[in-house]
Amino acid sequence: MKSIVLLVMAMTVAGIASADDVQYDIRVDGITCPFCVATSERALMKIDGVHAVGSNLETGTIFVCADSKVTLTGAQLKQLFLDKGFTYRSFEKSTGCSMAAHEHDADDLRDIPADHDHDAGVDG
Amino acid sequence: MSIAYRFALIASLFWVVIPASWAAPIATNTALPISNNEIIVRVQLVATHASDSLGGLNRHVDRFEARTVLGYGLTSKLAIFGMLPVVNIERTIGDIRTTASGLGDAALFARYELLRSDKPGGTFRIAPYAGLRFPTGKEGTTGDGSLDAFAGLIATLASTQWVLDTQLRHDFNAESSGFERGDTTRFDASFQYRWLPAKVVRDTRAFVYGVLELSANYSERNRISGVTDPNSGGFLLYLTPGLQYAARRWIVDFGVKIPVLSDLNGTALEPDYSILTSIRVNF
Repeated sequence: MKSIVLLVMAMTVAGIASADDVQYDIRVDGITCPFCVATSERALMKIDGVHAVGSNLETGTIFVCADSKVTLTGAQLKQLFLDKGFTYRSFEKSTGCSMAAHEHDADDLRDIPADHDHDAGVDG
Repeated sequence: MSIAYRFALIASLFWVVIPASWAAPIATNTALPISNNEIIVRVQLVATHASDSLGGLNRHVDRFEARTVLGYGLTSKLAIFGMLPVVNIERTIGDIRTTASGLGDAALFARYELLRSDKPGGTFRIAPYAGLRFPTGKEGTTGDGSLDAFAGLIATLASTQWVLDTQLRHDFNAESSGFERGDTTRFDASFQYRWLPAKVVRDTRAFVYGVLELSANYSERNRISGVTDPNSGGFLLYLTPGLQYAARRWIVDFGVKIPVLSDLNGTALEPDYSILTSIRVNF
């Protein structure tokens, strides 16, 4: 029974995140609690082509899994998080959608200056 | 209702007029944001009890208040709030028992984020606010009858482990039908410490906070027909231990507000305790 459940879960994840998907790891400062991050996650989910959104409050990272046709820009994300009351810093884009696999360690992120755009995808 | 009767009633209740609470802490305010176009609704229930014996005459007051608060983010920095209370008050003095119930005085205020300094998993914000309290309650029983103003300054320092909210607030109370409640000044500090989960991981869905709040309240004496009431006003210091469960869409909290230091003037009735619980939901 347990293996069936695991199989179903794996199939579900595979259905959500195909090889054609892309993942955005977005660094956002100022988010400190689940209640705070919820509205930002909902706003990202409303973007056409976005399948899944997750977050790590400790590192200030929001993960977005989307169709490969979806292109998020730094300017777009900056405005989105400005409206939510938080500070957008940067994003990394990668192919495939593993979400947790691209998660940074909290200590790694602390070494990055707040205003440092550490990826070519950053334009905001 | 005579001015003298209303005076006696309000004087005995002055301590139970707990300032409304609108945001993350249990009984004070926060500078944390309401997003642009976001709505937050909070329903808070407050039950308060007081009793003493004055010259062999027993006095009891039980007050129950249900407050509905609606907050709306006009922009990411500017939010407006409306608060509508419904009140039930039972007073017993000796063998005489009176009950009053109905709408209390509604409030409307705006909060503006003046300063924001964010970092990964942390923030520091300062937000002043100002508003009006309208005489929607029954004058002399569930309301003051006057149009009052208030203003305050909130500072919030938050991380994923703990949150510290502080505020300084002043209420400018006006006169109505010969009665003028004394102005009040208060300082609040709320410390919320995350107990669960012990470690925040990806997609942590909820936090459980232990909460400890301090509230220092100073009230000037009331005035009746221009005469200062010696049995009103004074200083009260409260502690409020509590618990809070913060999920993605909603927050519930529970606290008990206890006076730990009281220096009220004359024969003003001193508080025993208040029980507060609320739920808030974001849309």
